[in-house]
Amino acid sequence: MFSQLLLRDAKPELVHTDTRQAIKILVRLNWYRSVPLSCVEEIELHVDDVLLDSNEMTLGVNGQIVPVRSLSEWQNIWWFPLDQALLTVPLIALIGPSRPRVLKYGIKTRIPYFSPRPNGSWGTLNDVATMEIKL
Amino acid sequence: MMSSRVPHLGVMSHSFGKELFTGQSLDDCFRSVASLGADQHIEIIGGQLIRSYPLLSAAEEQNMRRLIDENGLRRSAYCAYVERGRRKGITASDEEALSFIRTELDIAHRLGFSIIRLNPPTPGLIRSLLPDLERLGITLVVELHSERVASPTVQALLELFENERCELVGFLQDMGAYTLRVPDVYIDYGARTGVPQEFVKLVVDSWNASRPLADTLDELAGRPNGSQAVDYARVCYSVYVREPLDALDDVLPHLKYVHSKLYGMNDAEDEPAIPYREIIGKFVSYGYNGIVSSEYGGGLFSRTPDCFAQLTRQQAMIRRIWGAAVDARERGVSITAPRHSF
Repeated sequence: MFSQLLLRDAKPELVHTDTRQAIKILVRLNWYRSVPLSCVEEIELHVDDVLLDSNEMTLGVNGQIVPVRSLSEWQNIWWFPLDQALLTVPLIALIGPSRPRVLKYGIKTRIPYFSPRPNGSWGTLNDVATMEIKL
Repeated sequence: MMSSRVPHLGVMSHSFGKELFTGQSLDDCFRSVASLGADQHIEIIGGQLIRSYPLLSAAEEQNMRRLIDENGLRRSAYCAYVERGRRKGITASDEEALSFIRTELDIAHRLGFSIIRLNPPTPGLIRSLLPDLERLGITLVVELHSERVASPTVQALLELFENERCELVGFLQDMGAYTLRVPDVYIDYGARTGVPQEFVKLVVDSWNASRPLADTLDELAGRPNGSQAVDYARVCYSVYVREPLDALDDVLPHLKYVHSKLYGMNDAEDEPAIPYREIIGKFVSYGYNGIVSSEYGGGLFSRTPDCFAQLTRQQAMIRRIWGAAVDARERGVSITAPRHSF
């Protein structure tokens, strides 16, 4: 939902520590109502069609910083739809010299009031937003 | 029971979802609702507007009350959902669902709403909630939109309402359940988002001809690049619903609230995808005198936020049609003969 707005005011940046680089970007929820983080089934970030490793990816929302790989465990932390969340992705390899790139944010959210399907799975909403950035 | 000459109008907060998403304040949106005309009602979705949701902080309670009262709005309904899928891999039991529904009832009561719209409850949940509804003085309405009246789900609710004969429960009729054809805004959305024209036409023609979704998907699968339109087809069939208009006859004795669905007004100041004249004719003939709350669904697919411009025109249309229906009733003339075939 509102996929074209998911990266509105995203303010992407490349940050550096002594040994690592990380991409930080403000992202939106693809649903118009609050959901607990346990409903966010997948978050992906691509740079120039390369899927970034999500093992150390974190999501900062509602005053908490949560590893993306464990979102399903957080049913008591809620994401308000008008709030941006800070997605931080430490990079495995150093990114090259600064140049224009295409960043693609994908989010899959389980809609908790849809009834489960006969096979027990739940309906999800998948949205993708892209933006051109210089990193 | 007689319908008043002037309908009791309002707006559901889902209507201005895109406006909020693009940075308009809730105060601005409530002010825009109030500007639609005298005695506007506001229907809110807790999970959409309350940052402390699923709870309601004291500060947010005070702020929401202030926004409603300072903008001169009347309270119509609070919208809640039976969200059994909050935890991954676990479907909440009725007992767990009752717990978070009671939290929603508390929010509705604290904000001063006397109607709660709950989607989708089972008859068992409703029976369990009757003492809470009585204690709080809140009426519970169940929305009819995607489920057909003849379905086992709705028939079970009808049986409950007949047996309980309780004034605190009833139906909300979404007029979108009687959609005639795929709205232009969705056709334009397909073209704008890159769905090939031949597949937009295939999906739209299939829906309009009441072709089952499975058959439409099968045909797409058999066409080169047809997979590009699968999501477009699935969304079309899930969002737009068509019931025979006579299904409304079973609903009317238990009707307590109406959503006047809007996809997009045309140049003739009409909503061409929904048979407003026929539906309002039935409401007035029966004597419905409750709220008619606008729900703008075009915002999901429109190019730019345009909710309030659309609602201004829609509410003018409703007033016009409603007045004509009341006049016809007083003359003993029916205006329910359909102009559209179903």
